[in-house]
Amino acid sequence: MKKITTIMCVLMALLMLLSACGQEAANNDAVPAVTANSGAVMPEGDDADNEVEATQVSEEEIDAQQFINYILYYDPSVIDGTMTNKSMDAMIICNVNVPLTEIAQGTNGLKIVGGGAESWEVSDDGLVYTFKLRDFNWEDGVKVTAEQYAYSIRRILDPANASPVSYMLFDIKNAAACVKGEITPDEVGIKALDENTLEITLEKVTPYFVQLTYQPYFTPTREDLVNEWGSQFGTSVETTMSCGPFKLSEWVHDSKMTLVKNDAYWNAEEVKLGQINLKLIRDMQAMMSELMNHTIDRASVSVPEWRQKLIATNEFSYGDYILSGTYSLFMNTKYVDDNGNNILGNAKVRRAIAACIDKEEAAMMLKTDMAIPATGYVPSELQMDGINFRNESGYNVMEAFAESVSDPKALLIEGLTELGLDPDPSLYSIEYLVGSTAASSKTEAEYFYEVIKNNLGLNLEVVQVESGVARQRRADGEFGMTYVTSYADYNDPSTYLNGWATYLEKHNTNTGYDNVEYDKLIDAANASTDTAERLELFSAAEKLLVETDCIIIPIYHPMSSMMNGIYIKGFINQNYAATQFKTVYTVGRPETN
Amino acid sequence: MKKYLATRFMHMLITIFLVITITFFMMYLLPGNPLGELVEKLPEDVQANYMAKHGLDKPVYTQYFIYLKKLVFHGDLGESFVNPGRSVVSILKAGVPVSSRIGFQGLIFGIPIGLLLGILAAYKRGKVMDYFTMFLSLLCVSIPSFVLATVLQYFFAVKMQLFPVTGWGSFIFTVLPSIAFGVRSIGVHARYMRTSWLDVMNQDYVLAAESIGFSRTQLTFKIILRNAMLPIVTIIVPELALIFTGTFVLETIFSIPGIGSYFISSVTGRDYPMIIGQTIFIAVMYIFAMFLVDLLYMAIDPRIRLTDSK
Repeated sequence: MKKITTIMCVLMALLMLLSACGQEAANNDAVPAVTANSGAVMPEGDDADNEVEATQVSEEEIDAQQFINYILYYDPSVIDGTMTNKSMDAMIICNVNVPLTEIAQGTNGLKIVGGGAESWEVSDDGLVYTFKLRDFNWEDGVKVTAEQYAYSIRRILDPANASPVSYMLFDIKNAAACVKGEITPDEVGIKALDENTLEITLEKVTPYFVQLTYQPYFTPTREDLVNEWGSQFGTSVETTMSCGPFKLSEWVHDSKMTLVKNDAYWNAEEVKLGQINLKLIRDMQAMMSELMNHTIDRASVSVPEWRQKLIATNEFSYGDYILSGTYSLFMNTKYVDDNGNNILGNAKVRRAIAACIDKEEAAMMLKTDMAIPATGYVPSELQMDGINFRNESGYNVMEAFAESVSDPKALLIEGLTELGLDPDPSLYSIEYLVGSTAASSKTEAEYFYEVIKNNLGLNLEVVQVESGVARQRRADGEFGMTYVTSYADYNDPSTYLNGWATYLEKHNTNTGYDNVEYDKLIDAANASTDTAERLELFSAAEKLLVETDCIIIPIYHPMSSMMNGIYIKGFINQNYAATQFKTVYTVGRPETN
Repeated sequence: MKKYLATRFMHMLITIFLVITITFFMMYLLPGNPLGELVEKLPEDVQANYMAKHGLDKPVYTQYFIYLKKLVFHGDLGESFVNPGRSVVSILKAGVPVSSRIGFQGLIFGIPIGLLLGILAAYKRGKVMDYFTMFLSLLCVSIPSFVLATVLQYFFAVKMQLFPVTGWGSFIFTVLPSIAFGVRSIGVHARYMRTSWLDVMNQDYVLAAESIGFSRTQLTFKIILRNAMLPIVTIIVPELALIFTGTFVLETIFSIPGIGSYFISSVTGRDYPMIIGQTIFIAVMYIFAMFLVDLLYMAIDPRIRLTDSK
């Protein structure tokens, strides 16, 4: 018995010894409160009055040691702009490599400035873009040439590579044909005229084309290194070559990544950060805890409780901004319920459902204050040719329904009568497909169930399946109603509206929509170069989708709150290009060990 | 003995082969494909290119035989679809030591404490100490690991800042996850040991040994312990085998680069080579562990050796 007690005491002692080897408590001095800076930032097109903001920081102010601790949401799959479409990968790629253009903070908002390209011009017919590159080198001394930019594009479009970003380049001449295998990559509309001149020819006039050139697929790729490293290209520090403001110095898969300043970068004097420590954090609570402790310097905070908690410490500045995305409900016009009734085939029924949902209440219930009620299917922040689409179009779906429909239930009964069916709504049930097994999704579905039940008397049958299965069902049209959050691929309404043209072979969400009018409007809008005309055509098309034919019920536009310690300066709040670190610096970082 | 080993080995091979086959076909029954949400964005031709590149356009049986051929003749588990350029073997090689380190440390922490508590409870049977240790054991088993992990993380890492909140590196990063992992073992082993010890303690041969003149120490270690350990061995060895598989929950909370998260992400991402690779890995580990259990039994318990040789 004595022996056992002794052994246990030894064990306890060992445990205490272990905990003593812990970190010293971080010394977080109270930093004086700074007014939080908030406000949505809207990216604007090229604007002569929009000067790039000069960073006015005296040398004494900034910290001696410039580094930042940032989050990796998942392990990047490959550091190669041609073979990935993931946002973490894009972030690394755009910081170790140089796209043709970049986004910078202007005095009137954001503007597009030269990255790898010093300047560019468009031909009179709008089909040929000529980029003049600046003189700069890769870290091994080899010059960055126009041919390398061209090689990237050809590599993406080569069908043998099956690149996940090929669909983003279909505006380039012959790109779609190349992917089908009908022509070779050499015949695609991109050519290096000389070492510093890149010429891109488009399929047709594309007003938003320059918006694509700050993305990772317009970075240069070294063909010699691709041949040398083969399938390992971009998967480790040894197989990644950089020409950008930073370079990879460490990559522990699933754990962390370290970037250090690249002294060979052409604008190295402007880069203040010496090191970027990227930590992979999977759990939301852990992420917020680290942000609170300043072991992570910046994060997107979407949980309302944490937002309040962090703001209350007065150690953070934050920018709330509206994302270019829309959470919408979709209705399948071909849906037949168990009794063989196709009530969603009638436009009045659909409009009744759309009208009975209070968007403001829905946004509040589903997202508290991290969303704004949707004004239309196209996000409120989206631009077209440098102007804000929503503001210029003036169309607001909430107002439109408020004016036209005073009694949704009566409208529903009208629709049912038109179909020759029994006008009692409680007889009908619509399958509501939920593409997630999370408990929160169930709660969301329950909200819509209640709303539709109370306002219309209709039943929703909630079906929860895994996201992959739901995707398949949406594509096959096996649902009654469902929801999707879609984000803009690029800054133009066509990214939202083109996908509903009825002549398309395949739809992501198959609503059985069939309206030749819609197709005509879309085709005309895409062929036009006149901004006012495009505005009118796209607005009319959107109205068909959300009001007249009512296939889509937009509910809210999500918001994001990027919070960082107040000692972090220089981040540009936008969600079109990858996060850039070259403008970031720290002033007054609290002492930690 | 040799014959026994040979037959066992054959059985193990057949089991592994069955596991591979069943998993392979079950996997393909799942709707969806590795492209995931890209299916919505990529045009038909690009998707077709992707399928061809990964050999997914061939009929399932053909893919099965190609996979078996690669596995048996080249020992190649293939390349992950979701993480291009990384072979399944390299991902396992990177993640398994990490997961197993946590599991191992957790067990080193949990098992001795659990066993000691069990023995203590056995000797103090019926008294307050017994009820207390059994209550403790119940707590250890009932508290879900993610609750414990979050609590540990909150108090010791976030509030007291004694340990890092997340991450992986030196020993200090492994402490909290190991404790969270090992606590359950304390509960399990305490209860098993108590029952086993009590069982053996009251046997006639123990009384006989005591009356013959065995000292207290000799009695405890030579006789009671050796007999009481038998059922424990049955649990410990598979427990050791399963630590290689990692725990998804702990690895998510502490952001540990182990193999656990891959189990779930590879299925949701339909990363076929990864799914089978991992399944084979666990199957081999587990089958081998069971084999080890049988061997250990033979080593510990002479009775089993004798009956077998007949």
